[in-house]
This record gives sequence, C-alpha cells and structure tokens, in this order.
Amino acid sequence: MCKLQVTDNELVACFIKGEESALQSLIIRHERKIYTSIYLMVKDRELADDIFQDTFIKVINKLRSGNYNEEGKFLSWVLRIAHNLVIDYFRSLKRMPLVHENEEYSIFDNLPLMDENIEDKIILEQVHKQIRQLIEELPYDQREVVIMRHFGNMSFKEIAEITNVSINTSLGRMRYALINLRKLIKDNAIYLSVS
Amino acid sequence: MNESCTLNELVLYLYNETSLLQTVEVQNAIDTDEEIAEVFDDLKKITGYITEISIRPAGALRESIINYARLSRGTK
Repeated sequence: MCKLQVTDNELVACFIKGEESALQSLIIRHERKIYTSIYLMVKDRELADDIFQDTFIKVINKLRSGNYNEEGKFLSWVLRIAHNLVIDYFRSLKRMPLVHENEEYSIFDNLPLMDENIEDKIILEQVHKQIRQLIEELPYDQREVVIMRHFGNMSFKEIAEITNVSINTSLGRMRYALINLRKLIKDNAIYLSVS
Repeated sequence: MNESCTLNELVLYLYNETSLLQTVEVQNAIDTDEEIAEVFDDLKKITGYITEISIRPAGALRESIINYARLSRGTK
C-alpha cells in the first residue's frame, strides 16, 4: 500500500506495480498544468480534451514498458509527450502555427478594446480569463516558452533543448512574450493588483 | 535601460535563473533605475497571474484515463 504523501516517482513506481490509484493521484496533482498547457497550445477545448487523453494513454504505455527514467521530472516528461502530440497534430494538418519573430506582431490590432471603466468591474476570474486570452493570442513560439516555463517548471536551458533552439532564443522569446503581454495589458487598461 | 542590466537578464532574474554575479547586478539596477524597477514590477505581476490562469479538465477525462489503465492492465 502506498503512503499518502508521496513523490511523483514513488507514485510512478506504485502505478507500475499495479495500483491505478497512484495514476489517479498523479493526474489530480498535475492535470491543471498539463491541460492548461495543451489548451493554450491548441486553443480549442475539444481538441485539448483529446490530446490530454492521448497524452496519458502514452504515459501509461511508456510507464508500463519501462520507458520512464526522468528522475523526479515527471511533469516535464508528461509535458514533452503532450508537446510532441500537439506538434504531430499540427503536422497532420500540414500546417504549423505561424511563428512571428517580431515582438510588435499585430496581436495588438486584433484584440477588442475594453470598456473604459473596466477597472472598476474586474474581478479576479475575469482578469485570469483576459490574461488567458492574451496568451492565446501570442505567436506560437512565444506561447510555447511561456507554457513550458510556467506550467512545466522547465528552465530556459531545458526549453531550448526541447524546442531545438539556443538558450538565448528561448530567453528572447520569453522576453518578447512578457513585453507583448505588458503592452497588451496597458493598452487594454487591465488592472493587475499585486498577485 | 541600464547597460548593466539587459531585459534578458531581467527575465532570468525574474525566474531565479541568474548567476550570483548577475543577481547582484540586476538587483542593483532595480534599486537604482526607476525604469527598470517599473518594468520588473510589471513583469512580476504578469508572471504571477500567468501561473494562476490554469484550467481544470473535466472529471470525465480523468475517469476515462483510469478506465483505460484498468482495462489495458496485462495487455501490454
């Protein structure tokens, strides 16, 4: 029997030994980060549902076949699998999301202006929704780095390795993403209280 | 922007990935340059919100995955 407070790797070991409840614990522990990462990449709930399920089917099969040796990096490992499935999906459509290297990409032009008095009406969930929408509008390469850094807890070095770019490129993409978001938030008069 | 602190370094600092020397330089830049301090404050707020925007998948998805795990046990 597994103890209540266990590490990811202990849960993985329990699952491999036959305890499905350990897999359930792993999913509950990480589902928000994994699902949000997938959703922000594909921007479609139904597709995100499918890829989320496919990701865990791969996870289950790989764990059972002994293809897991990430040493404490279970979440990063799962997110790599999810990332590859997203890439496969876009390849199957024979198109990848457009990559824009220019930080002044026209996302600023595509967003509707907010009500001037919105500062008074915003509640936290609305701000979250708005931030999510702004992230969805970022160019794919910038969005990808934001997702991997925030939801995968990956370093810029790890992100660079996964996305086959230099650390400086990976860091630059994050810089552009954050500067883009900062400008969008200012342009749309979204008030961020201290988080 | 202070020459001793680039935006890249500020981002690295934001995510606790600076070296000790970089940390000292960036902290010094934040303390002495109002423009950098303002940018850093904004980025810190933004990154705080990004972490909070996660979405929970439908519970049925989890059940479906667990069912797959149960049904496929021994078949792999």
